Amino acid sequence: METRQGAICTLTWSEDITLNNVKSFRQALEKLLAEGVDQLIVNMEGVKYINSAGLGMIADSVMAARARQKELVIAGVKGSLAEIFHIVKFSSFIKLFATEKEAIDYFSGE
Amino acid sequence: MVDGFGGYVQRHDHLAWRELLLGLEKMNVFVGLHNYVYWLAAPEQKQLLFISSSCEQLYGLPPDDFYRDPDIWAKVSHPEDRAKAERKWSLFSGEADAGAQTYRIINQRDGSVRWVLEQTFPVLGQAGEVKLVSGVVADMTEAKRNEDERQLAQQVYKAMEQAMLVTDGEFAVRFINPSFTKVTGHGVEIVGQPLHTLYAGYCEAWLYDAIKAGTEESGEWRGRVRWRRKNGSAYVRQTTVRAVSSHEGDVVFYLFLFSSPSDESSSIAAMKDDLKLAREVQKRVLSKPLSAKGIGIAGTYIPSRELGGDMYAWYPIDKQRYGIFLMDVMGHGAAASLICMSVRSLLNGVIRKGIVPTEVFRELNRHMRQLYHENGRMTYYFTAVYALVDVQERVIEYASAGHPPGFLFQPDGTVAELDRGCAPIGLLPRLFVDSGRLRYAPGATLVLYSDGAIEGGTGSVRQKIEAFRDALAPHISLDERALLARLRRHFEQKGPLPDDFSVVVAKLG
Repeated sequence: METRQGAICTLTWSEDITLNNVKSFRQALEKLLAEGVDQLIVNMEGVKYINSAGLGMIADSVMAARARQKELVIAGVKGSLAEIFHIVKFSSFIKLFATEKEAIDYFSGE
Repeated sequence: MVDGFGGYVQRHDHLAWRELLLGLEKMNVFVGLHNYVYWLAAPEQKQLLFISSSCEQLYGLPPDDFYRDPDIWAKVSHPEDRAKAERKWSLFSGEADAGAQTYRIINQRDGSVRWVLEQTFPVLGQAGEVKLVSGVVADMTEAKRNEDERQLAQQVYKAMEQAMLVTDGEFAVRFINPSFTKVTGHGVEIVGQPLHTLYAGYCEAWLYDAIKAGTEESGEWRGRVRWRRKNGSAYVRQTTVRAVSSHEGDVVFYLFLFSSPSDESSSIAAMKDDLKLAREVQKRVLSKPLSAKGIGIAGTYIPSRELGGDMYAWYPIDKQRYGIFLMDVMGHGAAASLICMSVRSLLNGVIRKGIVPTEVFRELNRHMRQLYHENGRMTYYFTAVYALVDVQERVIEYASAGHPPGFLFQPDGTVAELDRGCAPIGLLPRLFVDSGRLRYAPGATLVLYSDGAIEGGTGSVRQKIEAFRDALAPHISLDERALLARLRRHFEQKGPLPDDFSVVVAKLG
């Protein structure tokens, strides 16, 4: 589900990302990147597991956003999802936030 | 014909009828062109007053034959359908409703059987009584044949044991048969979806291009395609695609036939042999146990059901330093295995040239980006851990590229995790490696592993890592080979593993 709030567009993804839905996840990310705003949030609050292909897609989307002078951040990174992101060292190149509000505050400069 | 018709008209003195019949005769030209037969009759005597000249084409008889012979309808009707053909008269015995009958006639000129649709209408008098009956007969032979063929095709599709589906010219699914549902789990919900929803290969564009090129060239394309079942599992089937074109030559449908598993038994057996061989090759490139002053290294590898992307290796760099490397390519299957092998071929040179973790990972990242990065998109990546052990200084310099943290068990019972490093190799254009450095005491044990060791069971990833560490701890004093044998027994008891499992143990003096 995609929502827009001012200059920020948020994709809320609430299912675990597995072999079954990884293509849909990629399509949702591509749609988000195509939005006419520069500040993008992927809210993964309901996600407990993400497979290796899903991780690759997030990394790919972050880099694609940068190439278009946009910024994509991840929100809802808590619990087991935070552990996965920690292991794969995603914080070294992606902004990760525990809540969507924190991500919005980051974009708002608060 | 006009003269004959005029004679019949003269016998009826009602002016309105005459006008009507004359009008109809004028219309005859129009009706005849469209292969319809129009007739008008007095129902009580079953006396035909008018029939359009197109009757000659449909029935093989001129209109005069109809005017002369009152039993003509029975004669031209198929013997089994005479009752149906006669029903038009009884329809107007009491009620003034329109009716329609489909029945067979026999063309009297060539003897061919034709299906007709006869629609009848009452012509009412002033008091609302049925004065005349008019009818339009249309030749339905072609339509009926098409309908029969369609029904037959539908029955065949349903009864076919071979799974099949039909897409339109744009590769949107239009039809599936029950065998397809049985094999894949996909039901009617897939109708209308693009074909690549069902595809589990790595490049959708390739599939469409291959099918288009193959069918354009010879009308048919055959290939082994990796499809996806509804439950997400992949299956590979020999697939035959035929293009169905319209009269104008445009492709309107693609028919996909999936070979049954029995058709594939011999090729599957051959493929299993290939996979077995590939697994064997993959195992053979793993480093053999090494025993030197101050260090003993050994590893174990249990492949999953399919080919995987785990690999480990170690190299003496100089008299006091050893590089130990373990990697896990994203996903499974032949592609992961091949990437693994391509990295293996580079590794010796990369480690001997780069030596330290930062340089080794940067160089591997450069290779991965060069080899497996297409059109600005990442196609493959791998996680890895690399430890450079200095046995004289008793120092480990390491980095973990998105890999589960290795363990350094110290003789005093403490355990350090190798959790510093960088993102997986191949994901990013440039890697920023934050390597770590650990000192160890004589008798320490270094354990590196792939995520197959922490898969399955319950709990979070962190809990599984800790559970694996705690399971190792009581046996950590065993030598490297005994410890690995114990781990093998433990994991082999679990049956076929969903992911590769590999562990490297280095005993440090």
